[in-house]
Amino acid sequence: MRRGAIAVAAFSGLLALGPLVLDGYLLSLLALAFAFAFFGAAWNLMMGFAGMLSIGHGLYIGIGGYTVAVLLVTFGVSPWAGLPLAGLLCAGLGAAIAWTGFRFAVRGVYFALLTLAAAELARILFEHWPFVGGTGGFFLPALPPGNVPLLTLRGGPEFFYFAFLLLLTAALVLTLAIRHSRMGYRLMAIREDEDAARASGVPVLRMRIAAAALSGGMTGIGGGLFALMNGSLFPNTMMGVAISIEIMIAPIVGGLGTVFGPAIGALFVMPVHELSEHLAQEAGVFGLNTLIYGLLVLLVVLFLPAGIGPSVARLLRGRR
Amino acid sequence: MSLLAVEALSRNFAGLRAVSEVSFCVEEGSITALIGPNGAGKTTCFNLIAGALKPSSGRVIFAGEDVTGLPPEALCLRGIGRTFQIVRPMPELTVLENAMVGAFARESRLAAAEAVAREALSRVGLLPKAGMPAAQLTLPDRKMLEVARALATRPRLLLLDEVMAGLRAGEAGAIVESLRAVNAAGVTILMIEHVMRVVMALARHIVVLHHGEKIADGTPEEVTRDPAVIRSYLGERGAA
Amino acid sequence: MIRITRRAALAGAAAALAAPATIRAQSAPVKVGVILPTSGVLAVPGQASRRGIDLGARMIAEAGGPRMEVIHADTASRPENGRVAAERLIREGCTVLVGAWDSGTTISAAQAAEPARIPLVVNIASAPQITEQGFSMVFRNFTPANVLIRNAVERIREFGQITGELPRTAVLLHVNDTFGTSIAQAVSALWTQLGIPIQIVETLSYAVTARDLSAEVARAKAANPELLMPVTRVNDAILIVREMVRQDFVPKAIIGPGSPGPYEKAFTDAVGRFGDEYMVCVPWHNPRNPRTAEVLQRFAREYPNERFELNVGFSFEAMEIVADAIRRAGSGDPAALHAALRTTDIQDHIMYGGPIRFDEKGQNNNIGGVMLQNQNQEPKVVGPAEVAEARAIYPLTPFRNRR
Repeated sequence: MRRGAIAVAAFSGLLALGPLVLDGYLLSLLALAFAFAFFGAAWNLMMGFAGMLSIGHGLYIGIGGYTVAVLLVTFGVSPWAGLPLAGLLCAGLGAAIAWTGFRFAVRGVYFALLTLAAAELARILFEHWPFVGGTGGFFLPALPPGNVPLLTLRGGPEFFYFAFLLLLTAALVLTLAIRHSRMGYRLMAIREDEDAARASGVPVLRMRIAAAALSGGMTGIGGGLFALMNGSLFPNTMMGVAISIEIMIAPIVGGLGTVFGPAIGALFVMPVHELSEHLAQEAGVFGLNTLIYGLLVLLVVLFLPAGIGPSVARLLRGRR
Repeated sequence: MSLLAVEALSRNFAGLRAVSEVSFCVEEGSITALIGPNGAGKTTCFNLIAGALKPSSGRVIFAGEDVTGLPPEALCLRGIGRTFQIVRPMPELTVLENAMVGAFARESRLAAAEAVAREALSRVGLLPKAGMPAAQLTLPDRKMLEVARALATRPRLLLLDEVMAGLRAGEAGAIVESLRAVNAAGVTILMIEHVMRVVMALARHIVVLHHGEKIADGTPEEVTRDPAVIRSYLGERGAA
Repeated sequence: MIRITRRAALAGAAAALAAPATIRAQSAPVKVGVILPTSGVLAVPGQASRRGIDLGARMIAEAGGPRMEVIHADTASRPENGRVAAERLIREGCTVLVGAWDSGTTISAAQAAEPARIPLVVNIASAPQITEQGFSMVFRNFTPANVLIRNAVERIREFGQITGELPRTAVLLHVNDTFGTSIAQAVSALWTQLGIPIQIVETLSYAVTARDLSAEVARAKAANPELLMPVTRVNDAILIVREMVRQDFVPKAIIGPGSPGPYEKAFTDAVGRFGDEYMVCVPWHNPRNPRTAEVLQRFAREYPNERFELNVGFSFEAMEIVADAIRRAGSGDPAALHAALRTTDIQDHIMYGGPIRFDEKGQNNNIGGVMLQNQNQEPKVVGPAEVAEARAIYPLTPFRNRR
């Protein structure tokens, strides 16, 4: 636990120095990487720890995003209030989905489909709801020249760099704390073998609901900040299947069920995206970037199935 | 009053009576064996007692309380621990972490759970391997890990489902000794077992099932001389 | 890593302004950053836009225009990448940006352009909010959805003058996505407002991902309209035409009010002669402008397998707008470019409409819309009369009679 805490402190401490040496481009690139690392860490709580596969986590990004945006633009409510509200709302949704899965004895891959159904339901609902702009989208006003980021929770690359780094750090600390607590052991037991867990006294339903609520709530808060960063929201980009799948890639590539997996994965994936885009431009071949990216993810999954994090750790351990 | 009383317990599966009107008692501090030919309904009976299955009819009374139909996690908190026939170590966790899962049934703090887990591991001789990933254990050690995890929940009654299955003669001996020690420390044991040597060595009380019904109930000497029992085993062999 | 601060860039630019303007403009090319989705879901229109940009850059260079260095960024069709792409281009020294086709991506890029005080010339994006949310750096040379529809409805109203007869009833059939829904709503609103004498008897919609539109087409046919107004993209337009052929549904006219799809090569290739006589009202290039022919010929030479449609056209024009601003600013300094863009007044340009001018919100309100009709699998301008290059064929030739 202490080793993990030191690692988190070192990781975040080092990155906090970013704005001193990095320009606007790298700051905004890393802000995006931190955002996806954060989403990945939240998703990892459900999948990596409890073994509950969610392929509809976009639901929380979307609901979280729209909650913050609509409260801000339509009701003039500051994101300082909007974000916690978004988190609570999404936590409730997560709990509801987990409870529904239990109530109808939906497990494994069928539970995954349930999560997808919930996300799609929300997306279609929002596409037909004029109050949130429907398919036409919901837009935030441009920032006035005298904007104070700490007040409006919107700003330039430095602001979102720090904001998402803060969220990511909080997620890492939380994951670490859970890993070394009763909740963590019990969630892992559920993941490994639900029946054995039950026989060992683990209250499976309660733990599942807790994991889903925590995961959903965190993702909702991240979704709210994500919306503030993008400036506009559309149902299909905020809660479509594409983003639900996208946030799974970092934790899987980095190491499922590990504390640093999502962060490692996101920090690997983001440069790969950019590098492959650069290569595609140089080569003049459209779509080469998607090909390279897909290939690299495939290679990692094939040859480092436990993820980059555990594989590197094993390598280091073997050397000693 | 017996620690565990099973009354007219029955379970049907779409017309098949897997367990039919089975009644017996388990006295506190004893080691009781549940035996019978394959398909006699022993594991189903276990699952009914341990809450993994709901009975079609009948009752399960534990420490004077009617616990019929309660889920496994609730029974665990009341003091019933169980192992599984096909061992289920949690492979990604270490031996110690496996045991701690059980310890967390009653402990909420990490340090306390670790202490209880270590104690349970030492009772089955697994403490030296505490840091090893469970996936790397040998079969006998995995079985003992099952027992340790169940012990860490501080049970009054331990249900052991064919602990000896798949073990070689030499491996069984060490386990018999561990189980005797566990019982001596105050844990009542109800075990399903096929290996008759082990049954005779450990059990003071034997219940025999055949085709879902109880056909004998008594001391080892009484049961081995029971004609119905002999017929049920011989009959099987004759048919084979 | 050396951080390029805004202060440093502006200081450099100020020093640049101190020197004679024309000499400065010729010594270092102005870096123009282009943000487009050239891969991913939006790759087809994104790549078409890119062709327009590249052609524009080449032709401007050959005409002796201001030296420009175009740097491309691909957003992979993900809106959140708009911001990152803009930041990267700004870091690489771009003092003006063009983009981004998709409304979400455009807003995302604007988030970065605005505080950096780098002008963003929007080649294509239809969400009205892009010029309503208070961005001072955004200049859009494309119609917001509401204007696009107004132009389209005007073309339909004039249609009677062209053909001598106006259909009496209509069915509106639209795809249920960003473009489709806002267009359908705008059409309905304008219909009543402008008192169009065609009665819309039914409005039907379908999901973007629908693979089978037989039910919708059947319902449209059952309403027996003289005019079918589909609002589609390419694939659903193809599905609709095939269903109409299958069900022998032949209204007097098919007019898509502001529909992407029917003018695209993928559509005309897929449905062949069955796609002929399908009409659509969209912003388009002006075929009567002599320069247009020159540009079309050049495009046909350089991209023989592609079609010069509105994505290409408006992207080409965006480059012309940028070049014009650089010429008048006399430098690539972002503040000077911004001031120049605000006073843009281009009379002679290839896309149909009045002079290119941007109002205080950065919107060009003079963009026109034409009525296109596919004839021999090529979209031809059939209205308004001042720019028509062909006569509209009306009523629709039944599908079974088409050779």
